Amino acid sequence: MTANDRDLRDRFAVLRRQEEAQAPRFTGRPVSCREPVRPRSPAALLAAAACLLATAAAGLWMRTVSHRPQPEPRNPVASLMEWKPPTDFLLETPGHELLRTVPAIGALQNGLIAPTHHRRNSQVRKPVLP
Amino acid sequence: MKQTDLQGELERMHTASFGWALLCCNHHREEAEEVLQTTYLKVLEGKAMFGGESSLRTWLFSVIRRTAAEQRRRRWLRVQIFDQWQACLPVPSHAPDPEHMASASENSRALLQALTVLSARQREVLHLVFYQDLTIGEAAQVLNLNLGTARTHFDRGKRHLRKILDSSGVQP
Repeated sequence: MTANDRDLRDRFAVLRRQEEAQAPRFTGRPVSCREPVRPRSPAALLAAAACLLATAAAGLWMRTVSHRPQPEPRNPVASLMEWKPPTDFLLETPGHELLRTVPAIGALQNGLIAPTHHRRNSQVRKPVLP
Repeated sequence: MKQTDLQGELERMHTASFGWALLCCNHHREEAEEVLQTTYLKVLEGKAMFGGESSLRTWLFSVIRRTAAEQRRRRWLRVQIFDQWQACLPVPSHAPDPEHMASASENSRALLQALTVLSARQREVLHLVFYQDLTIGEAAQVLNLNLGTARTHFDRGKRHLRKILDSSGVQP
């Protein structure tokens, strides 16, 4: 040990004595102290890991179930062309066939003009006299 | 180690721990007391556990040092956050506590003043070796340094401190 070291050690020793005199009293065990935390056993760690894994698996399963595609409805409408509105029958007014066909003169059936849609564009032939 | 044994050891090392806490807190007495109390809580509650790799003393000193650093960081953060609203909150400084300086003798004042000029590592190594009578190896353990690095800080710190003390003109 050099003279420099001895001098520094002495100076620090003086400082230590002064600071030790001012040191607060050791108050002992604080009131809030609990028992020391013991390190967890491997079995407890294993159980915790298993719980965590089970929770993760359950979460994943729930997620899969919620994203599963829903089944198709039983009577689906195949296309828009085939769809008929339920109020369609209201358009079927009485005698609506008269409005859609060209009437033929003299052709009466049951007091009504017979529809001639099957004879459309055909020439009216005169009956051949015997 | 049993709780009662641990408490007895803490009591035995209390004054030395206080000296080390003072250095870690730049000789601010209140901060040092708070750091020491927090450290005791950590130790007694088992949050800091002694593994037996080193001596109990070097381990305790490293816990005190870490706790002081945590507290300093927290304090700095608090100042940064509440700076706008609480302008009167004291900013942590590296200068020793004026109250502490006033209570020290002239020699000790000069020493404390000189220590502030050194780097933190040099200051810590010199304190642990000269004040706490630890070896350089033990000081390296406390500071989590290599032995060679601690030795370098010790030699440079000694030379630097000698120069400052000589220039201050205070005789031992």
